[in-house]
Amino acid sequence: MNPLDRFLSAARMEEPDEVPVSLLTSARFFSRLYGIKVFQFFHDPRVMLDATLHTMKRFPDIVFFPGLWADYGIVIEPSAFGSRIFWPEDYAPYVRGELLKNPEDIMGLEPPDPKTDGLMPFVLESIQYIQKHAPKNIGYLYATARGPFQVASYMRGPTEFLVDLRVRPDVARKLIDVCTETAILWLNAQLEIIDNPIGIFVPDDNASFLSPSLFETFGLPAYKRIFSEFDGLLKVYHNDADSTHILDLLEQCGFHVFNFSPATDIGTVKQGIGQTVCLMGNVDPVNVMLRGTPERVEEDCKRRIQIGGPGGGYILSLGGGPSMETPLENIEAMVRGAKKYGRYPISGA
Amino acid sequence: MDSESLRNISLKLEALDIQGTIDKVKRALDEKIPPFEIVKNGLSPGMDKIGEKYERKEYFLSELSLAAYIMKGAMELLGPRMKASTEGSLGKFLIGTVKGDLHDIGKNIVSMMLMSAGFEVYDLGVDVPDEKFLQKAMEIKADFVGMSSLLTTTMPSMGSVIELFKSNGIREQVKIFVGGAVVTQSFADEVGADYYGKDAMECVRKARNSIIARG
Repeated sequence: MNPLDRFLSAARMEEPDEVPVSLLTSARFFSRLYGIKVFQFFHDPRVMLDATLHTMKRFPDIVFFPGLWADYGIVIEPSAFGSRIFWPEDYAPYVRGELLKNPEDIMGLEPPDPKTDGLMPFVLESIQYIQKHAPKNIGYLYATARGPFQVASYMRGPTEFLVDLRVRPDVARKLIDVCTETAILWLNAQLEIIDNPIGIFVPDDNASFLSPSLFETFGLPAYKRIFSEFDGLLKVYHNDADSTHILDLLEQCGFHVFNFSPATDIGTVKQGIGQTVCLMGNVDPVNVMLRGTPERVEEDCKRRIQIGGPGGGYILSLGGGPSMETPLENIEAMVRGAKKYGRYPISGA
Repeated sequence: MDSESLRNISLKLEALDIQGTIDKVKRALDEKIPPFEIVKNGLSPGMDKIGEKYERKEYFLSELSLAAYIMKGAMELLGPRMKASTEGSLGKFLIGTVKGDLHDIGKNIVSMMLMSAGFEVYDLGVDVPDEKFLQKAMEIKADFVGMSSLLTTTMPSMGSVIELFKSNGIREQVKIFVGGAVVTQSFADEVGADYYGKDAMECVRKARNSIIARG
Protein backbone atom coordinates (compact mmCIF):
# COMPACT_ATOMS: atom_id res chain seq x y z
CA MET A 1 0.00 0.00 0.00
CA ASN A 2 1.22 3.52 -0.68
CA PRO A 3 0.85 6.12 2.12
CA LEU A 4 -2.29 7.71 0.65
CA ASP A 5 -4.03 4.34 0.15
CA ARG A 6 -3.10 3.48 3.72
CA PHE A 7 -4.59 6.77 4.94
CA LEU A 8 -7.80 6.27 2.99
CA SER A 9 -8.13 2.68 4.17
CA ALA A 10 -7.90 3.81 7.81
CA ALA A 11 -10.37 6.61 7.05
CA ARG A 12 -12.82 3.91 5.91
CA MET A 13 -12.37 2.28 9.35
CA GLU A 14 -10.37 -0.58 7.88
CA GLU A 15 -7.06 -2.10 8.97
CA PRO A 16 -4.46 -1.13 6.36
CA ASP A 17 -1.13 -3.00 6.13
CA GLU A 18 0.28 -0.63 8.73
CA VAL A 19 -0.77 2.46 10.66
CA PRO A 20 -0.61 5.50 8.32
CA VAL A 21 1.29 8.61 9.39
CA SER A 22 -0.12 12.04 8.64
CA LEU A 23 0.80 15.62 9.47
CA LEU A 24 -1.33 18.66 8.85
CA THR A 25 -0.11 20.86 6.05
CA SER A 26 1.54 23.81 7.74
CA ALA A 27 2.59 27.04 6.06
CA ARG A 28 5.07 27.81 8.84
CA PHE A 29 6.71 24.39 8.88
CA PHE A 30 6.82 24.19 5.09
CA SER A 31 8.31 27.68 4.84
CA ARG A 32 11.06 26.80 7.27
CA LEU A 33 11.95 23.64 5.36
CA TYR A 34 11.93 25.51 2.07
CA GLY A 35 14.03 28.34 3.51
CA ILE A 36 11.55 31.17 2.98
CA LYS A 37 9.68 33.64 5.14
CA VAL A 38 6.11 32.62 5.87
CA PHE A 39 4.85 35.73 4.11
CA GLN A 40 6.48 34.53 0.88
CA PHE A 41 4.56 31.25 1.16
CA PHE A 42 1.28 33.14 1.14
CA HIS A 43 2.39 35.73 -1.35
CA ASP A 44 2.64 33.53 -4.40
CA PRO A 45 0.81 30.25 -5.18
CA ARG A 46 3.86 29.09 -7.13
CA VAL A 47 6.02 29.35 -4.00
CA MET A 48 3.24 27.73 -1.96
CA LEU A 49 3.19 24.77 -4.33
CA ASP A 50 6.98 24.46 -4.51
CA ALA A 51 7.35 24.60 -0.72
CA THR A 52 4.62 21.98 -0.30
CA LEU A 53 6.15 19.62 -2.86
CA HIS A 54 9.57 20.13 -1.29
CA THR A 55 8.27 18.97 2.11
CA MET A 56 6.30 16.08 0.62
CA LYS A 57 9.47 14.90 -1.11
CA ARG A 58 11.48 15.21 2.10
CA PHE A 59 8.99 12.96 3.97
CA PRO A 60 7.59 10.51 1.40
CA ASP A 61 6.11 8.19 4.05
CA ILE A 62 3.93 10.92 5.49
CA VAL A 63 0.54 11.91 4.12
CA PHE A 64 0.38 15.66 4.51
CA PHE A 65 -3.23 16.51 5.08
CA PRO A 66 -5.06 17.95 3.24
CA GLY A 67 -2.00 17.79 0.99
CA LEU A 68 -2.02 20.40 -1.72
CA TRP A 69 -3.79 23.28 -0.10
CA ALA A 70 -4.26 26.96 -0.87
CA ASP A 71 -3.84 27.59 2.83
CA TYR A 72 -4.22 31.14 4.08
CA GLY A 73 -4.88 30.24 7.71
CA ILE A 74 -7.89 31.57 9.50
CA VAL A 75 -8.31 34.75 7.50
CA ILE A 76 -10.17 33.70 4.35
CA GLU A 77 -13.73 33.66 5.70
CA PRO A 78 -13.34 36.73 7.96
CA SER A 79 -11.80 38.66 5.03
CA ALA A 80 -14.87 37.91 2.94
CA PHE A 81 -17.05 39.51 5.61
CA GLY A 82 -14.78 42.56 5.75
CA SER A 83 -12.43 41.85 8.69
CA ARG A 84 -9.08 43.61 8.79
CA ILE A 85 -6.27 41.19 7.99
CA PHE A 86 -2.71 41.56 9.23
CA TRP A 87 0.20 39.86 7.41
CA PRO A 88 3.27 39.38 9.61
CA GLU A 89 6.55 38.52 7.92
CA ASP A 90 7.13 35.18 9.59
CA TYR A 91 3.78 34.01 10.81
CA ALA A 92 0.39 33.13 9.41
CA PRO A 93 -1.93 36.07 8.73
CA TYR A 94 -4.44 36.93 11.39
CA VAL A 95 -7.56 38.96 11.96
CA ARG A 96 -6.99 42.25 13.74
CA GLY A 97 -9.81 43.69 15.81
CA GLU A 98 -13.37 42.47 15.92
CA LEU A 99 -15.53 43.23 12.91
CA LEU A 100 -18.76 42.74 14.85
CA LYS A 101 -18.20 44.81 17.97
CA ASN A 102 -21.89 45.50 18.44
CA PRO A 103 -24.49 42.72 18.67
CA GLU A 104 -26.82 44.73 16.42
CA ASP A 105 -24.25 44.45 13.59
CA ILE A 106 -24.95 40.72 13.51
CA MET A 107 -28.68 40.69 12.86
CA GLY A 108 -28.31 42.07 9.31
CA LEU A 109 -25.29 39.93 8.44
CA GLU A 110 -25.38 37.95 5.18
CA PRO A 111 -22.98 35.24 3.93
CA PRO A 112 -20.35 36.52 1.51
CA ASP A 113 -20.16 35.62 -2.18
CA PRO A 114 -17.13 33.32 -2.64
CA LYS A 115 -16.68 34.54 -6.21
CA THR A 116 -16.26 38.19 -5.32
CA ASP A 117 -15.66 38.81 -1.62
CA GLY A 118 -12.44 39.24 0.34
CA LEU A 119 -9.68 36.73 -0.30
CA MET A 120 -12.04 34.03 -1.56
CA PRO A 121 -11.69 34.70 -5.32
CA PHE A 122 -7.92 34.94 -4.88
CA VAL A 123 -7.87 31.58 -3.07
CA LEU A 124 -9.96 30.00 -5.83
CA GLU A 125 -7.38 31.21 -8.33
CA SER A 126 -4.60 29.80 -6.17
CA ILE A 127 -6.35 26.42 -6.10
CA GLN A 128 -6.58 26.47 -9.88
CA TYR A 129 -2.93 27.40 -10.22
CA ILE A 130 -1.81 24.71 -7.79
CA GLN A 131 -3.81 21.92 -9.38
CA LYS A 132 -2.72 22.95 -12.88
CA HIS A 133 0.98 22.98 -12.02
CA ALA A 134 1.21 20.09 -9.54
CA PRO A 135 2.76 16.82 -10.73
CA LYS A 136 0.17 14.51 -12.29
CA ASN A 137 0.41 11.98 -9.45
CA ILE A 138 -0.36 14.55 -6.72
CA GLY A 139 -3.93 15.74 -6.81
CA TYR A 140 -5.69 18.61 -5.10
CA LEU A 141 -8.04 16.46 -3.04
CA TYR A 142 -9.96 18.44 -0.44
CA ALA A 143 -12.03 21.58 -0.09
CA THR A 144 -11.47 23.33 3.23
CA ALA A 145 -13.59 25.73 5.26
CA ARG A 146 -13.08 26.95 8.79
CA GLY A 147 -15.95 25.91 11.02
CA PRO A 148 -18.64 28.32 12.17
CA PHE A 149 -17.37 28.62 15.75
CA GLN A 150 -13.88 29.65 14.76
CA VAL A 151 -15.10 32.18 12.20
CA ALA A 152 -17.74 33.58 14.56
CA SER A 153 -15.13 33.92 17.33
CA TYR A 154 -12.74 35.82 15.09
CA MET A 155 -15.38 38.23 13.93
CA ARG A 156 -17.16 38.83 17.22
CA GLY A 157 -14.26 38.23 19.65
CA PRO A 158 -13.89 34.83 21.34
CA THR A 159 -15.05 35.91 24.79
CA GLU A 160 -17.94 38.04 23.50
CA PHE A 161 -19.11 35.17 21.33
CA LEU A 162 -19.19 32.78 24.30
CA VAL A 163 -21.09 35.35 26.35
CA ASP A 164 -23.58 35.88 23.50
CA LEU A 165 -24.52 32.18 23.59
CA ARG A 166 -26.14 32.76 26.98
CA VAL A 167 -26.88 36.47 27.11
CA ARG A 168 -28.03 37.06 23.52
CA PRO A 169 -28.82 33.57 22.15
CA ASP A 170 -30.79 34.95 19.18
CA VAL A 171 -27.77 36.99 18.11
CA ALA A 172 -25.40 34.05 18.62
CA ARG A 173 -27.69 31.78 16.62
CA LYS A 174 -27.86 34.25 13.76
CA LEU A 175 -24.07 34.53 13.65
CA ILE A 176 -23.63 30.73 13.76
CA ASP A 177 -26.24 30.31 11.01
CA VAL A 178 -24.50 32.81 8.76
CA CYS A 179 -21.09 31.23 9.40
CA THR A 180 -22.52 27.74 8.79
CA GLU A 181 -24.06 28.86 5.51
CA THR A 182 -20.74 30.49 4.61
CA ALA A 183 -18.83 27.26 5.24
CA ILE A 184 -21.21 25.39 2.92
CA LEU A 185 -21.03 28.05 0.19
CA TRP A 186 -17.26 28.22 0.45
CA LEU A 187 -16.79 24.45 0.32
CA ASN A 188 -19.09 24.22 -2.70
CA ALA A 189 -17.25 27.02 -4.50
CA GLN A 190 -13.99 25.10 -4.10
CA LEU A 191 -15.54 21.76 -5.05
CA GLU A 192 -16.78 23.33 -8.29
CA ILE A 193 -13.22 23.99 -9.44
CA ILE A 194 -11.31 21.06 -7.92
CA ASP A 195 -10.94 18.47 -10.69
CA ASN A 196 -11.25 15.29 -8.63
CA PRO A 197 -12.12 16.10 -5.03
CA ILE A 198 -12.29 13.27 -2.51
CA GLY A 199 -13.25 15.13 0.63
CA ILE A 200 -13.84 18.18 2.77
CA PHE A 201 -11.82 19.44 5.72
CA VAL A 202 -13.42 21.49 8.52
CA PRO A 203 -11.14 22.75 11.31
CA ASP A 204 -12.98 24.36 14.24
CA ASP A 205 -11.20 24.41 17.63
CA ASN A 206 -13.47 26.94 19.30
CA ALA A 207 -16.44 24.57 19.38
CA SER A 208 -14.93 22.79 22.37
CA PHE A 209 -15.14 25.93 24.49
CA LEU A 210 -18.90 25.31 24.71
CA SER A 211 -20.44 23.28 27.51
CA PRO A 212 -22.19 20.06 26.43
CA SER A 213 -25.61 21.70 26.66
CA LEU A 214 -24.55 24.71 24.60
CA PHE A 215 -22.86 22.45 22.08
CA GLU A 216 -26.01 20.36 21.78
CA THR A 217 -28.09 23.50 21.19
CA PHE A 218 -25.76 25.38 18.85
CA GLY A 219 -22.94 23.09 17.71
CA LEU A 220 -24.63 19.84 16.80
CA PRO A 221 -27.24 21.37 14.42
CA ALA A 222 -24.58 23.50 12.70
CA TYR A 223 -22.22 20.58 12.15
CA LYS A 224 -25.00 18.23 11.07
CA ARG A 225 -26.02 20.81 8.51
CA ILE A 226 -22.50 21.19 7.12
CA PHE A 227 -21.55 17.52 7.01
CA SER A 228 -24.91 16.35 5.65
CA GLU A 229 -24.43 18.61 2.60
CA PHE A 230 -21.50 16.63 1.28
CA ASP A 231 -22.54 13.02 0.91
CA GLY A 232 -20.14 10.84 -1.04
CA LEU A 233 -17.08 12.76 0.12
CA LEU A 234 -14.68 11.98 2.96
CA LYS A 235 -15.42 14.40 5.80
CA VAL A 236 -12.54 15.33 8.10
CA TYR A 237 -12.99 17.39 11.25
CA HIS A 238 -10.13 18.97 13.19
CA ASN A 239 -10.45 20.28 16.73
CA ASP A 240 -7.31 20.54 18.83
CA ALA A 241 -8.96 21.90 21.96
CA ASP A 242 -9.92 19.45 24.71
CA SER A 243 -13.17 17.86 23.49
CA THR A 244 -13.63 15.22 26.20
CA HIS A 245 -16.91 16.73 27.38
CA ILE A 246 -18.58 16.72 23.94
CA LEU A 247 -17.31 13.46 22.45
CA ASP A 248 -20.74 11.81 22.44
CA LEU A 249 -22.20 14.79 20.60
CA LEU A 250 -19.34 15.00 18.11
CA GLU A 251 -20.03 11.38 17.18
CA GLN A 252 -23.47 12.44 15.92
CA CYS A 253 -22.15 15.23 13.66
CA GLY A 254 -21.57 13.09 10.60
CA PHE A 255 -17.83 13.35 9.90
CA HIS A 256 -15.61 10.35 9.13
CA VAL A 257 -12.19 11.37 10.50
CA PHE A 258 -11.52 13.16 13.79
CA ASN A 259 -8.18 14.96 14.28
CA PHE A 260 -8.16 15.61 18.02
CA SER A 261 -6.20 17.26 20.81
CA PRO A 262 -3.53 15.69 23.03
CA ALA A 263 -5.65 16.97 25.93
CA THR A 264 -8.38 14.50 24.92
CA ASP A 265 -7.45 11.02 26.13
CA ILE A 266 -6.97 8.64 23.22
CA GLY A 267 -8.24 5.66 25.23
CA THR A 268 -11.52 7.43 25.97
CA VAL A 269 -11.83 8.52 22.35
CA LYS A 270 -11.12 5.03 21.02
CA GLN A 271 -13.75 3.44 23.26
CA GLY A 272 -16.39 6.01 22.28
CA ILE A 273 -16.42 7.98 19.05
CA GLY A 274 -13.51 5.87 17.79
CA GLN A 275 -15.85 2.91 17.31
CA THR A 276 -17.54 4.64 14.38
CA VAL A 277 -15.17 7.46 13.38
CA CYS A 278 -11.55 7.17 12.23
CA LEU A 279 -9.15 8.75 14.74
CA MET A 280 -6.28 10.94 13.61
CA GLY A 281 -3.94 11.99 16.38
CA ASN A 282 -2.96 12.86 18.94
CA VAL A 283 0.77 13.19 19.68
CA ASP A 284 1.42 16.45 21.54
CA PRO A 285 2.85 18.88 18.93
CA VAL A 286 4.60 21.01 21.54
CA ASN A 287 5.62 18.94 24.55
CA VAL A 288 6.50 15.79 22.59
CA MET A 289 7.27 16.80 18.99
CA LEU A 290 8.82 20.20 19.55
CA ARG A 291 10.49 19.70 22.91
CA GLY A 292 10.90 15.93 23.17
CA THR A 293 13.73 13.67 22.04
CA PRO A 294 13.39 11.19 19.16
CA GLU A 295 13.29 8.39 21.75
CA ARG A 296 10.39 10.06 23.53
CA VAL A 297 8.56 10.59 20.24
CA GLU A 298 8.97 6.93 19.29
CA GLU A 299 7.77 5.76 22.70
CA ASP A 300 4.78 8.11 22.57
CA CYS A 301 3.85 6.88 19.09
CA LYS A 302 4.11 3.27 20.26
CA ARG A 303 1.67 3.93 23.08
CA ARG A 304 -0.82 5.70 20.83
CA ILE A 305 -0.63 2.99 18.17
CA GLN A 306 -1.29 0.33 20.80
CA ILE A 307 -4.40 2.19 21.98
CA GLY A 308 -5.68 3.68 18.72
CA GLY A 309 -4.53 1.02 16.27
CA PRO A 310 -6.38 -2.22 17.18
CA GLY A 311 -9.26 -2.89 14.81
CA GLY A 312 -8.13 -0.22 12.35
CA GLY A 313 -9.59 3.25 11.82
CA TYR A 314 -6.50 4.93 13.18
CA ILE A 315 -4.06 7.43 11.65
CA LEU A 316 -0.96 8.35 13.64
CA SER A 317 -0.77 12.14 13.66
CA LEU A 318 -0.37 15.13 15.92
CA GLY A 319 -3.09 16.73 17.99
CA GLY A 320 -2.73 19.91 15.92
CA GLY A 321 -0.35 21.23 13.30
CA PRO A 322 3.41 20.78 13.58
CA SER A 323 5.19 23.74 15.17
CA MET A 324 7.50 25.65 12.88
CA GLU A 325 10.67 24.58 14.71
CA THR A 326 9.78 20.89 15.15
CA PRO A 327 13.08 18.96 14.93
CA LEU A 328 13.17 16.91 11.74
CA GLU A 329 14.62 13.93 13.63
CA ASN A 330 11.43 13.89 15.71
CA ILE A 331 9.34 13.63 12.56
CA GLU A 332 11.58 10.82 11.37
CA ALA A 333 11.10 9.15 14.77
CA MET A 334 7.35 9.31 14.25
CA VAL A 335 7.61 7.53 10.89
CA ARG A 336 9.98 5.00 12.47
CA GLY A 337 7.53 4.41 15.33
CA ALA A 338 4.72 3.66 12.87
CA LYS A 339 6.91 1.21 10.92
CA LYS A 340 8.13 -0.49 14.08
CA TYR A 341 4.91 -0.79 16.06
CA GLY A 342 2.16 -0.13 13.54
CA ARG A 343 2.21 -3.30 11.46
CA TYR A 344 -1.22 -4.98 11.46
CA PRO A 345 -2.47 -7.03 13.20
CA ILE A 346 -1.98 -4.84 16.28
CA SER A 347 -2.98 -6.01 19.70
CA GLY A 348 -3.85 -3.58 22.50
CA ALA A 349 -1.45 -2.21 25.11
CA MET B 1 -27.62 40.73 57.93
CA ASP B 2 -24.39 41.29 56.05
CA SER B 3 -23.55 37.59 55.83
CA GLU B 4 -26.97 36.73 54.32
CA SER B 5 -26.66 39.41 51.64
CA LEU B 6 -23.12 38.37 50.79
CA ARG B 7 -24.05 34.68 50.69
CA ASN B 8 -26.84 35.52 48.24
CA ILE B 9 -24.35 37.28 45.96
CA SER B 10 -22.12 34.24 46.04
CA LEU B 11 -25.00 31.88 45.28
CA LYS B 12 -26.33 33.99 42.41
CA LEU B 13 -22.87 34.27 40.88
CA GLU B 14 -22.21 30.55 41.25
CA ALA B 15 -25.51 29.89 39.46
CA LEU B 16 -24.39 32.33 36.69
CA ASP B 17 -27.53 34.39 37.27
CA ILE B 18 -26.63 37.67 35.59
CA GLN B 19 -29.43 39.91 36.78
CA GLY B 20 -29.72 38.13 40.12
CA THR B 21 -26.05 38.79 40.93
CA ILE B 22 -26.27 42.45 39.95
CA ASP B 23 -29.47 42.92 41.97
CA LYS B 24 -27.90 41.36 45.05
CA VAL B 25 -24.80 43.54 44.69
CA LYS B 26 -27.04 46.63 44.45
CA ARG B 27 -28.96 45.51 47.52
CA ALA B 28 -25.73 44.99 49.47
CA LEU B 29 -24.64 48.51 48.53
CA ASP B 30 -28.03 49.84 49.69
CA GLU B 31 -27.39 48.08 52.98
CA LYS B 32 -24.14 50.07 53.21
CA ILE B 33 -21.94 47.01 53.04
CA PRO B 34 -18.48 48.26 52.02
CA PRO B 35 -17.63 47.42 48.38
CA PHE B 36 -14.46 45.68 49.49
CA GLU B 37 -16.57 43.35 51.69
CA ILE B 38 -18.88 42.65 48.76
CA VAL B 39 -15.93 41.53 46.63
CA LYS B 40 -14.15 39.61 49.36
CA ASN B 41 -17.07 37.82 50.97
CA GLY B 42 -19.68 37.84 48.19
CA LEU B 43 -18.18 37.67 44.72
CA SER B 44 -14.93 35.94 45.63
CA PRO B 45 -16.52 32.87 47.27
CA GLY B 46 -18.87 32.66 44.25
CA MET B 47 -15.89 32.69 41.90
CA ASP B 48 -14.14 30.05 44.00
CA LYS B 49 -17.18 27.79 43.60
CA ILE B 50 -17.19 28.43 39.84
CA GLY B 51 -13.48 27.53 39.74
CA GLU B 52 -14.20 24.30 41.62
CA LYS B 53 -17.00 23.44 39.20
CA TYR B 54 -14.61 24.05 36.29
CA GLU B 55 -12.03 21.74 37.84
CA ARG B 56 -14.74 19.07 38.33
CA LYS B 57 -15.76 19.58 34.67
CA GLU B 58 -19.24 20.78 35.60
CA TYR B 59 -18.49 24.18 34.09
CA PHE B 60 -16.54 24.87 30.89
CA LEU B 61 -14.95 27.86 29.18
CA SER B 62 -18.39 29.08 28.12
CA GLU B 63 -19.42 29.28 31.80
CA LEU B 64 -16.13 30.88 32.90
CA SER B 65 -16.53 33.51 30.19
CA LEU B 66 -20.06 34.21 31.37
CA ALA B 67 -18.81 34.49 34.95
CA ALA B 68 -16.24 37.02 33.72
CA TYR B 69 -19.05 38.99 32.10
CA ILE B 70 -21.09 39.01 35.31
CA MET B 71 -18.03 39.98 37.36
CA LYS B 72 -17.37 42.84 34.97
CA GLY B 73 -20.93 44.09 35.51
CA ALA B 74 -20.55 43.83 39.27
CA MET B 75 -17.20 45.61 39.24
CA GLU B 76 -18.67 48.44 37.15
CA LEU B 77 -20.98 49.06 40.11
CA LEU B 78 -18.33 48.58 42.77
CA GLY B 79 -15.23 49.94 41.06
CA PRO B 80 -15.97 53.68 41.32
CA ARG B 81 -16.76 53.26 45.02
CA MET B 82 -13.57 51.30 45.62
CA LYS B 83 -11.26 53.72 43.79
CA ALA B 84 -11.41 56.12 46.72
CA SER B 85 -9.64 53.61 48.90
CA THR B 86 -6.98 50.98 48.39
CA GLU B 87 -8.34 49.09 51.36
CA GLY B 88 -8.17 45.38 50.81
CA SER B 89 -6.29 45.46 47.50
CA LEU B 90 -3.84 42.60 47.24
CA GLY B 91 -1.76 44.57 44.76
CA LYS B 92 -1.67 45.82 41.19
CA PHE B 93 -1.71 43.04 38.62
CA LEU B 94 -0.90 44.00 35.03
CA ILE B 95 -1.98 41.40 32.49
CA GLY B 96 -2.01 40.92 28.72
CA THR B 97 -1.58 38.53 25.80
CA VAL B 98 1.83 38.94 24.19
CA LYS B 99 2.66 40.48 20.83
CA GLY B 100 1.29 38.68 17.76
CA ASP B 101 -1.16 36.63 19.81
CA LEU B 102 -4.88 37.36 19.80
CA HIS B 103 -6.14 34.69 22.19
CA ASP B 104 -8.06 36.31 24.98
CA ILE B 105 -10.35 33.78 26.63
CA GLY B 106 -7.85 32.45 29.18
CA LYS B 107 -6.42 35.88 29.87
CA ASN B 108 -9.90 37.32 30.47
CA ILE B 109 -10.77 34.52 32.86
CA VAL B 110 -7.54 35.01 34.81
CA SER B 111 -8.26 38.78 34.97
CA MET B 112 -11.69 38.18 36.36
CA MET B 113 -10.54 35.60 38.92
CA LEU B 114 -7.78 37.92 40.09
CA MET B 115 -10.23 40.78 40.37
CA SER B 116 -12.60 38.72 42.45
CA ALA B 117 -9.70 37.60 44.65
CA GLY B 118 -9.01 41.25 45.46
CA PHE B 119 -6.25 42.25 43.04
CA GLU B 120 -6.40 45.56 41.23
CA VAL B 121 -6.25 44.34 37.63
CA TYR B 122 -4.98 46.36 34.65
CA ASP B 123 -5.77 44.47 31.44
CA LEU B 124 -3.74 45.50 28.39
CA GLY B 125 -5.75 43.26 26.05
CA VAL B 126 -4.21 41.16 23.27
CA ASP B 127 -1.30 41.58 20.85
CA VAL B 128 0.55 43.68 23.44
CA PRO B 129 4.01 44.96 22.38
CA ASP B 130 6.86 44.27 24.84
CA GLU B 131 7.39 47.98 25.51
CA LYS B 132 3.73 48.40 26.46
CA PHE B 133 4.12 45.92 29.33
CA LEU B 134 7.13 47.88 30.58
CA GLN B 135 5.60 51.30 30.13
CA LYS B 136 2.36 50.43 31.90
CA ALA B 137 4.12 48.52 34.70
CA MET B 138 6.23 51.61 35.41
CA GLU B 139 3.26 53.94 35.14
CA ILE B 140 1.06 52.09 37.62
CA LYS B 141 3.91 50.68 39.72
CA ALA B 142 2.68 47.14 39.15
CA ASP B 143 3.30 44.47 41.77
CA PHE B 144 2.57 41.61 39.37
CA VAL B 145 2.81 41.17 35.61
CA GLY B 146 0.99 38.30 33.87
CA MET B 147 1.60 37.29 30.28
CA SER B 148 -0.45 34.87 28.20
CA SER B 149 0.56 33.09 25.01
CA LEU B 150 -1.19 30.34 23.08
CA LEU B 151 1.29 29.97 20.25
CA THR B 152 4.82 28.58 20.11
CA THR B 153 5.69 31.45 17.82
CA THR B 154 4.63 34.14 20.27
CA MET B 155 5.82 32.64 23.56
CA PRO B 156 9.42 33.89 23.13
CA SER B 157 8.01 37.40 23.72
CA MET B 158 7.57 36.43 27.36
CA GLY B 159 11.35 36.14 27.61
CA SER B 160 11.95 39.41 25.79
CA VAL B 161 9.54 41.27 28.09
CA ILE B 162 11.39 39.88 31.11
CA GLU B 163 14.70 41.00 29.58
CA LEU B 164 13.22 44.44 29.01
CA PHE B 165 12.21 44.66 32.66
CA LYS B 166 15.75 43.65 33.64
CA SER B 167 17.46 46.17 31.38
CA ASN B 168 15.22 48.91 32.77
CA GLY B 169 16.03 47.95 36.34
CA ILE B 170 12.53 47.02 37.49
CA ARG B 171 12.66 43.23 37.26
CA GLU B 172 13.07 42.79 41.02
CA GLN B 173 10.09 45.01 41.76
CA VAL B 174 7.53 42.76 40.08
CA LYS B 175 6.49 39.14 40.27
CA ILE B 176 6.09 37.77 36.77
CA PHE B 177 3.49 35.14 35.87
CA VAL B 178 3.27 33.27 32.57
CA GLY B 179 0.57 30.97 31.25
CA GLY B 180 -1.31 29.74 28.17
CA ALA B 181 -1.82 26.43 26.39
CA VAL B 182 1.74 26.04 25.09
CA VAL B 183 3.53 27.33 28.21
CA THR B 184 4.99 24.88 30.72
CA GLN B 185 6.81 25.12 34.04
CA SER B 186 10.11 24.37 32.31
CA PHE B 187 9.52 27.18 29.82
CA ALA B 188 8.68 29.53 32.68
CA ASP B 189 11.98 28.58 34.35
CA GLU B 190 13.85 29.00 31.08
CA VAL B 191 12.70 32.59 30.53
CA GLY B 192 13.08 33.51 34.18
CA ALA B 193 9.43 34.00 35.16
CA ASP B 194 8.57 33.77 38.86
CA TYR B 195 5.42 31.72 38.44
CA TYR B 196 3.68 29.48 35.92
CA GLY B 197 -0.08 29.06 36.08
CA LYS B 198 -1.49 26.00 34.33
CA ASP B 199 -4.96 27.52 34.56
CA ALA B 200 -6.72 30.54 36.04
CA MET B 201 -7.32 28.85 39.37
CA GLU B 202 -3.65 27.95 39.81
CA CYS B 203 -2.57 31.45 38.82
CA VAL B 204 -4.77 33.01 41.50
CA ARG B 205 -3.62 30.49 44.13
CA LYS B 206 0.03 31.25 43.35
CA ALA B 207 -0.55 35.00 43.33
CA ARG B 208 -2.22 34.80 46.75
CA ASN B 209 0.57 32.56 48.08
CA SER B 210 3.26 34.92 46.81
CA ILE B 211 1.74 37.64 48.97
CA ILE B 212 1.70 35.39 52.01
CA ALA B 213 5.34 34.47 51.30
CA ARG B 214 6.22 38.14 50.94
CA GLY B 215 4.53 38.83 54.27
